[in-house]
Amino acid sequence: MLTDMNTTLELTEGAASNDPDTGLRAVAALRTLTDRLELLQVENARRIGWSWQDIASRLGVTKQTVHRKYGRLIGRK
Amino acid sequence: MSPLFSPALRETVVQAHRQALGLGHDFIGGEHLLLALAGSWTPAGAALREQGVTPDQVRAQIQRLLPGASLAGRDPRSAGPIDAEALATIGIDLEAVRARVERAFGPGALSYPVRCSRRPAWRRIRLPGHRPSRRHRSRSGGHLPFTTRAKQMLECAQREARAQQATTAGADHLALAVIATDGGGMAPAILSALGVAEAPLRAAILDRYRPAS
Repeated sequence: MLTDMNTTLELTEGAASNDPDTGLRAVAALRTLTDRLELLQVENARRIGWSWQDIASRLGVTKQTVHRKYGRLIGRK
Repeated sequence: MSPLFSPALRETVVQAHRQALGLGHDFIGGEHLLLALAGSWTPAGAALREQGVTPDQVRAQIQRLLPGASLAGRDPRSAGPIDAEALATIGIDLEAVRARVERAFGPGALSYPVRCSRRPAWRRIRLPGHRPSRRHRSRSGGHLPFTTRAKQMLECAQREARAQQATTAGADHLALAVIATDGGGMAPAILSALGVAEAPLRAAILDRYRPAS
């Protein structure tokens, strides 16, 4: 079972490095996933009282960037 | 007078709303209520899972029976499903990510990560027969409408509550209404696809029934 999965993974990884269609779709899906996780984490951090500054420093961006991106969507609290 | 809806039932409806959005649907139907119940920490949820009606199974059946995603791409906060296949090609198991995220943030969190309003979710979703106050009415948009059948299920939950002399209609009453095969619709189709019959399921829910929930 495990070896079967590893084989599948190797095959698909091979495809990812060669085929632009597969590779680009993977990048797009990864970006969507990252966006969702970021939104979820930022919203949760705000809800439990984190400042925009604290959130921004963890994400490695400026306070203005994170506030511009999420300020209206999440709001204060 | 009709029994009021309990907090557990309201929370179930909120979760059903989340699940519907996560699936890219623009309505709340019996299938979403079933999905929410199957994932809930209520006696009915435990009874459903015990009979093999797990959130994953229900979600898979909904996607099989109703693949349409009418909301997809319209709202960045619920921009349709994430491409699990594409992620698998770079070694990311989306279901594993989803499971961890939902364990921390609740069902549907990854599909619909943000609340759009500061008002509590149960206030934003208008249950049939419960009009919002005038102050809130103009701002009460943003939620999905119930299907006729889902409305009937909520009314049926009240009848179930009345039949058991309960003062509020809870998640367990809703579960009894949702699994009822005489209502038709997708919930019974999902249950029959999972090979679960109504009678033993009903018995299992009633077995765990506690008036306080």
